[in-house]
Amino acid sequence: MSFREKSAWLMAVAVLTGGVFYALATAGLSAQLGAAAPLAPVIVALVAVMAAIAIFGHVIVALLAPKDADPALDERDRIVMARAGAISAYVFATGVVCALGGYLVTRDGDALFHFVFASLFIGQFAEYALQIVFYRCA
Amino acid sequence: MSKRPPITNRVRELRERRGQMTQAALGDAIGVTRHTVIAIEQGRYSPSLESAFRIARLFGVGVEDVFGWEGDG
Repeated sequence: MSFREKSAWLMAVAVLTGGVFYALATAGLSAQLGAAAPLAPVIVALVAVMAAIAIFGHVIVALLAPKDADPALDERDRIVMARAGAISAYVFATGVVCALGGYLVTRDGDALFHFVFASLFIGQFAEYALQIVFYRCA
Repeated sequence: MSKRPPITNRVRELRERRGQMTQAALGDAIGVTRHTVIAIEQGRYSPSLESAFRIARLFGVGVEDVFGWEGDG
């Protein structure tokens, strides 16, 4: 498994962990209040957790296989990343359009924030998951 | 990319014929990673035209001696 594929696995786990953490934190509040307002401390904690997973994970992966930890992308890496990025952009855009449509109906700005934020996470997760699939298939 | 390309190649055979050339050494010589060389040899990835020419020139043969179309023999 290449460093890039390991990196994609790591980032997929980081995004999934962050998304579940945010969803649980928000769902807990929203169950009592309706769509809860976004809380800056939760988002800061989320970013910190994801950054920690990404940084320490990449350091460990690089230490375990220093020869493969070359940051340069080759032609296959570029194709894999471009295709995964293009498809995940559609995933993100679809989520944002649905969130905007929901806002037109509900006029709930907090829910709009959460849906757009969720779309960002789903789009990012899709990007890393697709990178893994493309690395496995090609 | 998810569909196996219909292109065959003799990269592994030519590499092994060239003494103890490793996949990493071939990758370094043509500017790709060892994992991309592995994917090429397994037929999971078709290299760019530039890389195909680099491989052929490295082994001192023509591109058609390295790569072929599936079913063309």
